[in-house]
Amino acid sequence: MAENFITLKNVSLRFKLYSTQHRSIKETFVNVLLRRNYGRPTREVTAVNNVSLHIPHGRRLGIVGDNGAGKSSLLKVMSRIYPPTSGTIERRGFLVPLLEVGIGFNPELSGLENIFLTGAIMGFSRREMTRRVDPILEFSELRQFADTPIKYYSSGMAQRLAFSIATEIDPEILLLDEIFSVGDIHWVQKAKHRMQSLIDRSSILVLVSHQMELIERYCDWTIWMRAGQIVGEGPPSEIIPAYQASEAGVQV
Amino acid sequence: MTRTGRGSILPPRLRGPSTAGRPEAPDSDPSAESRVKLVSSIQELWQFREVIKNFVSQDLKVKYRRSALGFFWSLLNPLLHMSVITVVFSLLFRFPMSQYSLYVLSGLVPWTFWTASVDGCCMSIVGAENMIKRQYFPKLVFPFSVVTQNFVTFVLSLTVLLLILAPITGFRPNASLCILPLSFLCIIAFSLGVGLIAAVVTVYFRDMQHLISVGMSTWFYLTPIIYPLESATGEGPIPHAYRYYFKLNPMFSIIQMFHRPIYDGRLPTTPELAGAVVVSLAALLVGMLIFKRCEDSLVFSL
Repeated sequence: MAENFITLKNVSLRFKLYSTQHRSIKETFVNVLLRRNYGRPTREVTAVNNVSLHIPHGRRLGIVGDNGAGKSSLLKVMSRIYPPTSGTIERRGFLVPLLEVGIGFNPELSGLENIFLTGAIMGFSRREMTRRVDPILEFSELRQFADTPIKYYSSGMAQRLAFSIATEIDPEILLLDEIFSVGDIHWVQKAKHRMQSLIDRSSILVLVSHQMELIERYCDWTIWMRAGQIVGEGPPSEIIPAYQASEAGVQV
Repeated sequence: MTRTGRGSILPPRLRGPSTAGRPEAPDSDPSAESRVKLVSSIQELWQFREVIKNFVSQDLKVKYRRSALGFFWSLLNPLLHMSVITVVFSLLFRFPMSQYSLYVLSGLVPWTFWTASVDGCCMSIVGAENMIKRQYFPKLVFPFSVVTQNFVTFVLSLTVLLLILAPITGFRPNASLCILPLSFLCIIAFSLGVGLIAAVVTVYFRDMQHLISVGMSTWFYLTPIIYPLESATGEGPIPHAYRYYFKLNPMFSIIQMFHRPIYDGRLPTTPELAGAVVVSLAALLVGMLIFKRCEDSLVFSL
Protein backbone atom coordinates (compact mmCIF):
# COMPACT_ATOMS: atom_id res chain seq x y z
CA MET A 1 0.00 0.00 0.00
CA ALA A 2 1.33 3.36 -1.00
CA GLU A 3 2.13 5.78 1.74
CA ASN A 4 -0.33 8.64 1.94
CA PHE A 5 0.77 12.11 2.91
CA ILE A 6 0.00 15.79 2.75
CA THR A 7 2.83 18.28 2.45
CA LEU A 8 2.31 22.01 2.57
CA LYS A 9 5.17 24.33 1.71
CA ASN A 10 4.90 28.02 2.60
CA VAL A 11 1.18 27.99 2.00
CA SER A 12 -0.66 31.28 2.33
CA LEU A 13 -4.30 32.03 1.70
CA ARG A 14 -5.45 35.60 1.36
CA PHE A 15 -8.99 36.81 0.90
CA LYS A 16 -9.95 40.12 -0.54
CA LEU A 17 -12.91 41.55 1.26
CA TYR A 18 -15.26 43.76 -0.69
CA SER A 19 -17.46 46.31 0.96
CA THR A 20 -20.43 44.85 -0.83
CA GLN A 21 -20.76 41.13 -1.14
CA HIS A 22 -21.83 40.91 -4.76
CA ARG A 23 -21.17 43.50 -7.36
CA SER A 24 -23.45 44.23 -10.23
CA ILE A 25 -22.78 45.75 -13.59
CA LYS A 26 -25.14 48.57 -12.76
CA GLU A 27 -23.30 49.42 -9.54
CA THR A 28 -19.90 49.18 -11.17
CA PHE A 29 -21.09 51.48 -13.93
CA VAL A 30 -22.46 54.02 -11.45
CA ASN A 31 -19.30 53.81 -9.34
CA VAL A 32 -17.09 54.44 -12.32
CA LEU A 33 -19.25 57.39 -13.37
CA LEU A 34 -19.25 58.91 -9.89
CA ARG A 35 -15.61 57.99 -9.31
CA ARG A 36 -16.46 56.06 -6.19
CA ASN A 37 -14.39 53.03 -5.37
CA TYR A 38 -16.89 50.82 -3.58
CA GLY A 39 -16.17 48.00 -5.95
CA ARG A 40 -12.53 47.75 -5.04
CA PRO A 41 -11.34 45.42 -2.33
CA THR A 42 -11.36 47.32 0.94
CA ARG A 43 -9.39 44.93 3.06
CA GLU A 44 -7.22 41.90 2.60
CA VAL A 45 -7.36 39.16 5.18
CA THR A 46 -4.62 36.57 5.52
CA ALA A 47 -6.39 33.44 6.68
CA VAL A 48 -3.39 31.16 6.37
CA ASN A 49 0.03 32.74 6.66
CA ASN A 50 3.08 30.93 5.36
CA VAL A 51 2.30 27.51 6.79
CA SER A 52 4.64 24.60 6.14
CA LEU A 53 3.51 21.25 7.38
CA HIS A 54 4.14 17.61 6.61
CA ILE A 55 1.50 15.08 7.57
CA PRO A 56 2.89 11.56 7.17
CA HIS A 57 1.04 8.27 6.79
CA GLY A 58 -0.66 7.18 9.99
CA ARG A 59 -0.72 10.61 11.57
CA ARG A 60 -3.75 11.72 13.59
CA LEU A 61 -3.45 15.46 13.59
CA GLY A 62 -5.52 17.77 15.74
CA ILE A 63 -5.68 21.49 15.05
CA VAL A 64 -6.49 23.83 17.93
CA GLY A 65 -6.83 27.59 18.02
CA ASP A 66 -9.30 30.37 18.61
CA ASN A 67 -12.08 31.25 16.20
CA GLY A 68 -10.67 32.92 13.12
CA ALA A 69 -7.21 31.44 13.63
CA GLY A 70 -7.35 29.86 10.18
CA LYS A 71 -8.05 26.25 11.14
CA SER A 72 -10.99 25.71 8.83
CA SER A 73 -9.31 27.64 6.03
CA LEU A 74 -6.34 25.33 6.33
CA LEU A 75 -8.64 22.31 5.95
CA LYS A 76 -10.20 23.88 2.89
CA VAL A 77 -6.79 24.47 1.36
CA MET A 78 -5.84 20.83 2.02
CA SER A 79 -9.02 19.65 0.32
CA ARG A 80 -8.44 21.92 -2.73
CA ILE A 81 -11.62 23.91 -2.13
CA TYR A 82 -9.50 27.05 -1.85
CA PRO A 83 -6.43 27.19 -4.07
CA PRO A 84 -3.58 28.70 -2.03
CA THR A 85 -2.60 32.26 -2.85
CA SER A 86 1.01 31.19 -2.67
CA GLY A 87 2.94 28.07 -1.77
CA THR A 88 2.47 24.48 -2.85
CA ILE A 89 0.56 21.45 -1.66
CA GLU A 90 1.47 17.89 -2.45
CA ARG A 91 -0.80 15.09 -1.54
CA ARG A 92 -1.33 11.40 -2.06
CA GLY A 93 -4.43 9.50 -1.09
CA PHE A 94 -8.18 9.51 -1.53
CA LEU A 95 -9.33 12.45 0.54
CA VAL A 96 -12.78 13.04 1.98
CA PRO A 97 -13.53 16.37 3.58
CA LEU A 98 -16.32 16.18 6.15
CA LEU A 99 -16.51 19.89 6.75
CA GLU A 100 -20.23 20.35 6.66
CA VAL A 101 -22.84 17.63 6.37
CA GLY A 102 -25.07 17.11 3.36
CA ILE A 103 -23.27 18.42 0.31
CA GLY A 104 -25.33 18.51 -2.79
CA PHE A 105 -28.59 17.10 -1.52
CA ASN A 106 -31.30 17.79 -4.03
CA PRO A 107 -34.53 18.24 -2.06
CA GLU A 108 -36.70 17.18 -5.01
CA LEU A 109 -35.05 13.79 -5.27
CA SER A 110 -35.67 10.78 -3.06
CA GLY A 111 -33.32 9.66 -0.34
CA LEU A 112 -32.12 6.79 -2.50
CA GLU A 113 -31.32 9.04 -5.47
CA ASN A 114 -29.51 11.44 -3.17
CA ILE A 115 -27.34 8.57 -1.94
CA PHE A 116 -26.17 8.00 -5.50
CA LEU A 117 -25.71 11.71 -6.13
CA THR A 118 -23.63 12.24 -3.00
CA GLY A 119 -21.67 9.11 -3.81
CA ALA A 120 -20.87 10.44 -7.28
CA ILE A 121 -19.73 13.76 -5.83
CA MET A 122 -17.38 11.85 -3.55
CA GLY A 123 -16.03 9.91 -6.51
CA PHE A 124 -17.94 6.63 -6.56
CA SER A 125 -19.59 5.08 -9.56
CA ARG A 126 -23.17 3.89 -9.50
CA ARG A 127 -22.00 0.30 -9.24
CA GLU A 128 -19.74 1.03 -6.32
CA MET A 129 -22.55 2.86 -4.57
CA THR A 130 -25.09 0.12 -5.18
CA ARG A 131 -23.53 -2.16 -2.62
CA ARG A 132 -23.27 0.68 -0.12
CA VAL A 133 -26.95 1.60 -0.34
CA ASP A 134 -28.11 -1.15 2.01
CA PRO A 135 -25.70 -0.39 4.85
CA ILE A 136 -26.49 3.33 4.52
CA LEU A 137 -30.25 2.80 4.73
CA GLU A 138 -29.70 0.33 7.54
CA PHE A 139 -27.56 2.62 9.63
CA SER A 140 -29.62 5.74 9.08
CA GLU A 141 -32.84 3.83 9.91
CA LEU A 142 -34.47 5.51 6.94
CA ARG A 143 -35.24 2.49 4.80
CA GLN A 144 -38.98 3.13 4.81
CA PHE A 145 -38.37 6.69 3.59
CA ALA A 146 -35.89 5.72 0.85
CA ASP A 147 -38.30 6.71 -1.91
CA THR A 148 -39.56 9.88 -0.23
CA PRO A 149 -38.16 13.15 -1.58
CA ILE A 150 -35.66 14.71 0.82
CA LYS A 151 -37.78 17.85 1.14
CA TYR A 152 -40.29 15.90 3.20
CA TYR A 153 -37.57 14.76 5.60
CA SER A 154 -37.15 16.45 8.95
CA SER A 155 -33.80 18.21 9.25
CA GLY A 156 -32.72 15.52 11.68
CA MET A 157 -33.52 12.81 9.17
CA ALA A 158 -31.63 14.60 6.40
CA GLN A 159 -28.60 14.99 8.63
CA ARG A 160 -28.79 11.36 9.64
CA LEU A 161 -28.77 10.35 6.00
CA ALA A 162 -25.89 12.67 5.18
CA PHE A 163 -23.86 11.37 8.09
CA SER A 164 -24.56 7.78 7.13
CA ILE A 165 -23.45 8.33 3.54
CA ALA A 166 -20.34 10.23 4.52
CA THR A 167 -19.26 7.59 7.01
CA GLU A 168 -19.97 4.62 4.76
CA ILE A 169 -17.07 5.43 2.47
CA ASP A 170 -13.46 4.58 3.17
CA PRO A 171 -11.25 7.64 2.90
CA GLU A 172 -7.50 7.37 3.11
CA ILE A 173 -7.28 10.96 4.26
CA LEU A 174 -10.11 12.17 6.44
CA LEU A 175 -10.58 15.87 7.14
CA LEU A 176 -13.05 16.59 9.93
CA ASP A 177 -14.29 19.98 11.02
CA GLU A 178 -15.82 19.45 14.48
CA ILE A 179 -17.72 16.26 15.04
CA PHE A 180 -21.26 15.97 13.88
CA SER A 181 -23.53 15.23 16.78
CA VAL A 182 -27.16 15.47 15.90
CA GLY A 183 -30.37 13.83 17.00
CA ASP A 184 -31.42 11.92 20.05
CA ILE A 185 -29.15 10.23 22.55
CA HIS A 186 -29.56 6.85 20.92
CA TRP A 187 -28.34 8.29 17.63
CA VAL A 188 -25.41 10.16 19.15
CA GLN A 189 -24.14 6.92 20.67
CA LYS A 190 -24.44 5.11 17.33
CA ALA A 191 -22.80 8.00 15.50
CA LYS A 192 -19.84 8.01 17.87
CA HIS A 193 -19.10 4.36 17.24
CA ARG A 194 -19.35 4.83 13.53
CA MET A 195 -17.11 7.88 13.62
CA GLN A 196 -14.55 5.91 15.59
CA SER A 197 -14.54 3.13 13.01
CA LEU A 198 -14.28 5.64 10.15
CA ILE A 199 -11.29 7.25 11.84
CA ASP A 200 -9.73 3.82 12.40
CA ARG A 201 -10.09 2.97 8.72
CA SER A 202 -8.45 6.16 7.46
CA SER A 203 -4.70 6.37 7.27
CA ILE A 204 -4.52 10.10 7.94
CA LEU A 205 -6.87 12.12 10.11
CA VAL A 206 -6.95 15.90 10.37
CA LEU A 207 -9.39 17.06 13.01
CA VAL A 208 -10.36 20.62 13.82
CA SER A 209 -12.21 20.96 17.09
CA HIS A 210 -12.84 23.22 20.04
CA GLN A 211 -13.50 20.21 22.22
CA MET A 212 -10.13 19.37 23.71
CA GLU A 213 -11.24 15.95 24.90
CA LEU A 214 -11.90 14.97 21.28
CA ILE A 215 -8.40 16.01 20.26
CA GLU A 216 -6.99 14.09 23.22
CA ARG A 217 -8.97 11.00 22.37
CA TYR A 218 -8.34 10.84 18.63
CA CYS A 219 -5.08 12.61 17.90
CA ASP A 220 -1.43 11.80 18.43
CA TRP A 221 -0.08 15.15 17.21
CA THR A 222 -1.35 18.68 17.54
CA ILE A 223 -0.73 22.00 15.94
CA TRP A 224 -1.84 25.26 17.46
CA MET A 225 -2.79 28.08 15.16
CA ARG A 226 -3.06 31.77 15.81
CA ALA A 227 -3.70 34.45 13.17
CA GLY A 228 -3.07 32.04 10.33
CA GLN A 229 0.27 30.81 11.62
CA ILE A 230 1.38 27.69 13.42
CA VAL A 231 2.55 28.83 16.85
CA GLY A 232 3.02 25.45 18.48
CA GLU A 233 3.40 21.84 17.44
CA GLY A 234 3.70 18.70 19.51
CA PRO A 235 1.82 15.86 21.19
CA PRO A 236 -1.61 16.83 22.54
CA SER A 237 -0.40 16.41 26.12
CA GLU A 238 1.94 19.37 25.63
CA ILE A 239 0.02 21.63 23.28
CA ILE A 240 -3.43 21.48 24.83
CA PRO A 241 -2.36 22.67 28.32
CA ALA A 242 -0.28 25.43 26.73
CA TYR A 243 -3.18 26.51 24.54
CA GLN A 244 -5.63 26.43 27.43
CA ALA A 245 -3.23 28.40 29.61
CA SER A 246 -2.85 31.14 27.01
CA GLU A 247 -6.59 31.22 26.47
CA ALA A 248 -7.13 31.60 30.21
CA GLY A 249 -4.52 34.34 30.24
CA VAL A 250 -6.43 36.28 27.64
CA GLN A 251 -9.68 35.93 29.54
CA VAL A 252 -8.11 37.14 32.81
CA MET B 1 -10.40 -2.42 3.44
CA THR B 2 -11.89 -1.32 0.19
CA ARG B 3 -10.46 1.70 -1.46
CA THR B 4 -12.38 1.80 -4.67
CA GLY B 5 -12.95 5.10 -6.34
CA ARG B 6 -9.79 6.43 -4.79
CA GLY B 7 -8.19 7.55 -7.99
CA SER B 8 -11.37 8.71 -9.59
CA ILE B 9 -11.82 11.90 -7.67
CA LEU B 10 -8.35 13.01 -6.82
CA PRO B 11 -5.14 12.71 -8.70
CA PRO B 12 -2.62 10.89 -6.52
CA ARG B 13 -0.31 13.84 -6.47
CA LEU B 14 -1.43 17.38 -6.58
CA ARG B 15 0.49 20.54 -6.80
CA GLY B 16 -1.70 23.43 -5.87
CA PRO B 17 -1.91 26.21 -8.40
CA SER B 18 0.18 29.04 -7.14
CA THR B 19 1.53 32.36 -8.16
CA ALA B 20 4.69 32.28 -6.10
CA GLY B 21 6.80 29.32 -5.16
CA ARG B 22 6.05 27.39 -8.29
CA PRO B 23 9.21 25.98 -9.71
CA GLU B 24 9.63 27.55 -13.12
CA ALA B 25 9.87 24.93 -15.81
CA PRO B 26 12.75 25.77 -18.14
CA ASP B 27 10.53 25.45 -21.20
CA SER B 28 7.60 27.41 -19.82
CA ASP B 29 6.18 28.44 -23.14
CA PRO B 30 2.85 30.04 -22.22
CA SER B 31 0.94 28.51 -25.11
CA ALA B 32 2.27 25.05 -24.29
CA GLU B 33 1.26 25.58 -20.70
CA SER B 34 -2.30 26.54 -21.57
CA ARG B 35 -2.47 23.56 -23.92
CA VAL B 36 -1.46 21.27 -21.09
CA LYS B 37 -4.03 22.97 -18.86
CA LEU B 38 -6.78 22.38 -21.42
CA VAL B 39 -5.87 18.72 -21.83
CA SER B 40 -5.70 18.14 -18.08
CA SER B 41 -9.03 19.86 -17.56
CA ILE B 42 -10.64 17.55 -20.08
CA GLN B 43 -9.12 14.57 -18.29
CA GLU B 44 -10.46 15.92 -15.03
CA LEU B 45 -13.90 16.29 -16.58
CA TRP B 46 -13.72 12.63 -17.57
CA GLN B 47 -12.83 11.67 -14.00
CA PHE B 48 -15.94 13.47 -12.85
CA ARG B 49 -18.22 11.87 -15.43
CA GLU B 50 -20.24 10.17 -12.68
CA VAL B 51 -21.05 13.57 -11.22
CA ILE B 52 -22.06 14.93 -14.60
CA LYS B 53 -24.23 11.88 -15.26
CA ASN B 54 -25.91 12.39 -11.91
CA PHE B 55 -26.46 16.11 -12.41
CA VAL B 56 -27.95 15.57 -15.84
CA SER B 57 -30.26 12.76 -14.80
CA GLN B 58 -31.35 14.55 -11.64
CA ASP B 59 -32.21 17.67 -13.60
CA LEU B 60 -34.17 15.71 -16.15
CA LYS B 61 -35.94 13.72 -13.43
CA VAL B 62 -36.93 16.79 -11.45
CA LYS B 63 -38.11 18.51 -14.60
CA TYR B 64 -40.33 15.71 -15.76
CA ARG B 65 -41.32 13.90 -12.58
CA ARG B 66 -44.12 16.11 -11.40
CA SER B 67 -46.25 15.89 -14.47
CA ALA B 68 -48.17 12.98 -15.82
CA LEU B 69 -47.33 14.09 -19.34
CA GLY B 70 -43.67 14.24 -18.41
CA PHE B 71 -41.49 14.77 -21.42
CA PHE B 72 -44.34 16.05 -23.57
CA TRP B 73 -44.46 19.26 -21.62
CA SER B 74 -41.05 20.12 -22.99
CA LEU B 75 -42.46 19.73 -26.50
CA LEU B 76 -45.36 22.01 -25.72
CA ASN B 77 -43.24 25.13 -25.42
CA PRO B 78 -41.59 25.06 -28.86
CA LEU B 79 -44.84 23.75 -30.31
CA LEU B 80 -46.91 26.66 -29.01
CA HIS B 81 -44.20 29.14 -29.88
CA MET B 82 -44.03 27.79 -33.40
CA SER B 83 -47.82 27.80 -33.83
CA VAL B 84 -48.16 31.41 -32.67
CA ILE B 85 -45.32 32.55 -34.91
CA THR B 86 -46.69 30.62 -37.86
CA VAL B 87 -50.20 31.99 -37.48
CA VAL B 88 -49.12 35.56 -36.82
CA PHE B 89 -46.48 35.81 -39.49
CA SER B 90 -48.14 33.87 -42.25
CA LEU B 91 -51.24 36.06 -41.83
CA LEU B 92 -49.50 39.39 -41.29
CA PHE B 93 -46.37 39.35 -43.36
CA ARG B 94 -46.76 36.62 -45.91
CA PHE B 95 -43.14 35.83 -46.51
CA PRO B 96 -42.55 34.50 -49.99
CA MET B 97 -41.96 30.93 -48.90
CA SER B 98 -43.71 27.61 -48.70
CA GLN B 99 -43.83 25.39 -45.62
CA TYR B 100 -43.30 28.36 -43.32
CA SER B 101 -44.03 26.28 -40.19
CA LEU B 102 -41.25 23.84 -41.02
CA TYR B 103 -38.86 26.74 -41.52
CA VAL B 104 -39.75 28.18 -38.11
CA LEU B 105 -39.53 24.82 -36.40
CA SER B 106 -36.11 23.96 -37.82
CA GLY B 107 -34.64 27.22 -36.58
CA LEU B 108 -36.59 27.70 -33.38
CA VAL B 109 -35.77 24.38 -31.71
CA PRO B 110 -31.96 24.83 -32.04
CA TRP B 111 -32.35 28.44 -30.93
CA THR B 112 -34.24 27.31 -27.81
CA PHE B 113 -31.39 24.93 -27.00
CA TRP B 114 -28.84 27.69 -27.34
CA THR B 115 -30.65 30.23 -25.15
CA ALA B 116 -31.58 27.64 -22.55
CA SER B 117 -27.93 26.53 -22.40
CA VAL B 118 -26.53 30.01 -21.98
CA ASP B 119 -29.21 30.94 -19.44
CA GLY B 120 -28.52 27.76 -17.51
CA CYS B 121 -24.74 28.19 -17.64
CA CYS B 122 -25.16 31.71 -16.32
CA MET B 123 -26.42 30.51 -12.96
CA SER B 124 -24.58 27.19 -12.94
CA ILE B 125 -21.58 28.26 -10.86
CA VAL B 126 -23.45 30.71 -8.66
CA GLY B 127 -26.16 28.14 -8.02
CA ALA B 128 -23.64 25.49 -7.01
CA GLU B 129 -22.08 27.70 -4.36
CA ASN B 130 -22.98 25.31 -1.56
CA MET B 131 -21.27 22.39 -3.24
CA ILE B 132 -18.23 24.32 -4.40
CA LYS B 133 -17.54 25.59 -0.90
CA ARG B 134 -17.71 22.18 0.68
CA GLN B 135 -15.91 19.93 -1.72
CA TYR B 136 -13.45 20.26 -4.56
CA PHE B 137 -14.96 20.23 -8.04
CA PRO B 138 -13.51 21.08 -11.40
CA LYS B 139 -15.89 23.98 -12.02
CA LEU B 140 -16.26 22.92 -15.66
CA VAL B 141 -18.60 20.20 -14.40
CA PHE B 142 -21.44 22.66 -13.82
CA PRO B 143 -21.75 24.43 -17.20
CA PHE B 144 -20.99 21.14 -18.93
CA SER B 145 -23.88 19.41 -17.14
CA VAL B 146 -26.24 22.24 -18.06
CA VAL B 147 -25.38 21.99 -21.74
CA THR B 148 -25.61 18.19 -21.72
CA GLN B 149 -28.99 18.22 -20.07
CA ASN B 150 -30.33 20.80 -22.51
CA PHE B 151 -28.91 18.84 -25.40
CA VAL B 152 -30.84 15.72 -24.41
CA THR B 153 -34.06 17.70 -24.37
CA PHE B 154 -33.11 19.38 -27.64
CA VAL B 155 -32.46 16.20 -29.61
CA LEU B 156 -35.56 14.49 -28.28
CA SER B 157 -37.85 17.41 -28.98
CA LEU B 158 -36.40 18.04 -32.44
CA THR B 159 -36.89 14.39 -33.41
CA VAL B 160 -40.36 14.08 -31.99
CA LEU B 161 -41.60 17.42 -33.33
CA LEU B 162 -40.30 16.74 -36.82
CA LEU B 163 -41.91 13.31 -36.93
CA ILE B 164 -45.22 14.19 -35.26
CA LEU B 165 -45.69 17.38 -37.23
CA ALA B 166 -44.54 15.95 -40.56
CA PRO B 167 -48.11 15.82 -41.94
CA ILE B 168 -48.60 19.53 -41.14
CA THR B 169 -45.14 20.90 -41.93
CA GLY B 170 -44.47 18.71 -44.91
CA PHE B 171 -41.13 17.52 -43.53
CA ARG B 172 -39.52 14.76 -45.60
CA PRO B 173 -36.51 12.78 -44.46
CA ASN B 174 -33.68 13.15 -46.96
CA ALA B 175 -30.02 12.25 -47.37
CA SER B 176 -28.76 15.71 -46.37
CA LEU B 177 -29.93 15.05 -42.80
CA CYS B 178 -26.64 13.14 -42.42
CA ILE B 179 -25.01 16.52 -41.81
CA LEU B 180 -27.01 16.99 -38.57
CA PRO B 181 -24.44 15.39 -36.22
CA LEU B 182 -22.00 18.07 -37.34
CA SER B 183 -24.70 20.70 -36.81
CA PHE B 184 -25.20 19.40 -33.28
CA LEU B 185 -21.47 19.53 -32.56
CA CYS B 186 -21.30 23.12 -33.81
CA ILE B 187 -24.19 24.37 -31.72
CA ILE B 188 -22.95 22.50 -28.63
CA ALA B 189 -19.47 23.99 -28.97
CA PHE B 190 -20.83 27.48 -29.54
CA SER B 191 -23.32 27.28 -26.65
CA LEU B 192 -20.76 25.85 -24.27
CA GLY B 193 -18.16 28.42 -25.25
CA VAL B 194 -20.49 31.37 -24.72
CA GLY B 195 -22.00 29.66 -21.67
CA LEU B 196 -18.58 29.32 -20.02
CA ILE B 197 -17.98 33.04 -20.38
CA ALA B 198 -21.48 33.81 -19.09
CA ALA B 199 -20.94 31.54 -16.08
CA VAL B 200 -17.72 33.30 -15.11
CA VAL B 201 -19.05 36.81 -15.64
CA THR B 202 -22.16 36.08 -13.57
CA VAL B 203 -20.00 35.16 -10.58
CA TYR B 204 -18.50 38.65 -10.61
CA PHE B 205 -21.58 40.54 -11.75
CA ARG B 206 -24.78 39.02 -10.48
CA ASP B 207 -27.08 41.08 -12.69
CA MET B 208 -25.50 39.61 -15.80
CA GLN B 209 -28.36 37.20 -16.41
CA HIS B 210 -30.86 40.04 -16.92
CA LEU B 211 -28.61 41.62 -19.50
CA ILE B 212 -28.16 38.27 -21.19
CA SER B 213 -31.88 37.65 -21.52
CA VAL B 214 -32.38 41.09 -23.06
CA GLY B 215 -29.44 40.50 -25.36
CA MET B 216 -30.77 37.10 -26.33
CA SER B 217 -34.16 38.38 -27.44
CA THR B 218 -32.51 41.09 -29.53
CA TRP B 219 -30.22 38.50 -31.04
CA PHE B 220 -33.24 36.32 -31.79
CA TYR B 221 -34.80 38.97 -34.02
CA LEU B 222 -31.49 39.63 -35.75
CA THR B 223 -31.17 35.97 -36.70
CA PRO B 224 -33.28 34.71 -39.59
CA ILE B 225 -35.58 32.31 -37.71
CA ILE B 226 -39.05 33.79 -38.00
CA TYR B 227 -38.22 35.40 -41.33
CA PRO B 228 -36.11 34.14 -44.23
CA LEU B 229 -32.95 36.02 -45.14
CA GLU B 230 -33.58 35.19 -48.77
CA SER B 231 -35.89 32.71 -50.33
CA ALA B 232 -35.13 30.47 -53.28
CA THR B 233 -36.13 33.27 -55.62
CA GLY B 234 -33.81 35.74 -53.84
CA GLU B 235 -36.66 37.65 -52.25
CA GLY B 236 -36.90 38.39 -48.55
CA PRO B 237 -37.91 41.02 -46.01
CA ILE B 238 -34.33 42.27 -45.56
CA PRO B 239 -33.06 44.70 -48.25
CA HIS B 240 -30.21 43.32 -50.34
CA ALA B 241 -27.76 45.91 -49.05
CA TYR B 242 -28.07 44.66 -45.46
CA ARG B 243 -28.08 40.94 -46.08
CA TYR B 244 -24.30 40.74 -45.95
CA TYR B 245 -24.29 42.02 -42.36
CA PHE B 246 -26.87 39.46 -41.31
CA LYS B 247 -24.55 36.75 -42.53
CA LEU B 248 -21.81 37.97 -40.17
CA ASN B 249 -23.98 36.92 -37.21
CA PRO B 250 -22.38 33.72 -35.87
CA MET B 251 -25.77 32.25 -35.14
CA PHE B 252 -26.74 32.69 -38.79
CA SER B 253 -24.34 30.01 -40.02
CA ILE B 254 -25.14 27.73 -37.10
CA ILE B 255 -28.90 27.97 -37.62
CA GLN B 256 -28.34 27.44 -41.35
CA MET B 257 -26.76 24.11 -40.41
CA PHE B 258 -30.29 23.13 -39.38
CA HIS B 259 -32.35 25.10 -41.92
CA ARG B 260 -30.53 23.64 -44.90
CA PRO B 261 -30.95 19.90 -44.28
CA ILE B 262 -34.34 20.07 -42.54
CA TYR B 263 -36.10 22.79 -44.53
CA ASP B 264 -34.28 23.01 -47.85
CA GLY B 265 -33.45 19.33 -47.99
CA ARG B 266 -29.88 19.99 -49.07
CA LEU B 267 -26.45 20.48 -47.55
CA PRO B 268 -25.37 23.86 -46.18
CA THR B 269 -23.30 25.97 -48.57
CA THR B 270 -19.55 25.88 -48.08
CA PRO B 271 -19.36 29.38 -46.49
CA GLU B 272 -22.16 28.47 -44.09
CA LEU B 273 -20.48 25.21 -43.16
CA ALA B 274 -17.05 26.78 -42.76
CA GLY B 275 -18.54 29.72 -40.85
CA ALA B 276 -20.37 27.48 -38.41
CA VAL B 277 -17.35 25.26 -37.74
CA VAL B 278 -14.89 28.12 -37.33
CA VAL B 279 -17.18 30.24 -35.19
CA SER B 280 -18.12 27.42 -32.85
CA LEU B 281 -14.56 26.18 -32.40
CA ALA B 282 -13.39 29.73 -31.75
CA ALA B 283 -16.15 30.30 -29.18
CA LEU B 284 -15.31 27.06 -27.42
CA LEU B 285 -11.60 27.82 -27.33
CA VAL B 286 -12.03 31.37 -26.06
CA GLY B 287 -14.62 30.22 -23.52
CA MET B 288 -12.34 27.48 -22.22
CA LEU B 289 -9.34 29.78 -21.96
CA ILE B 290 -11.29 32.45 -20.06
CA PHE B 291 -12.87 29.84 -17.84
CA LYS B 292 -9.60 28.10 -17.01
CA ARG B 293 -8.02 31.45 -16.27
CA CYS B 294 -10.69 32.39 -13.74
CA GLU B 295 -11.55 28.92 -12.45
CA ASP B 296 -9.31 28.99 -9.38
CA SER B 297 -10.39 32.40 -8.17
CA LEU B 298 -14.13 31.83 -8.66
CA VAL B 299 -14.55 30.31 -5.21
CA PHE B 300 -13.38 33.54 -3.59
CA SER B 301 -16.13 35.55 -5.23
CA LEU B 302 -19.04 33.26 -4.40
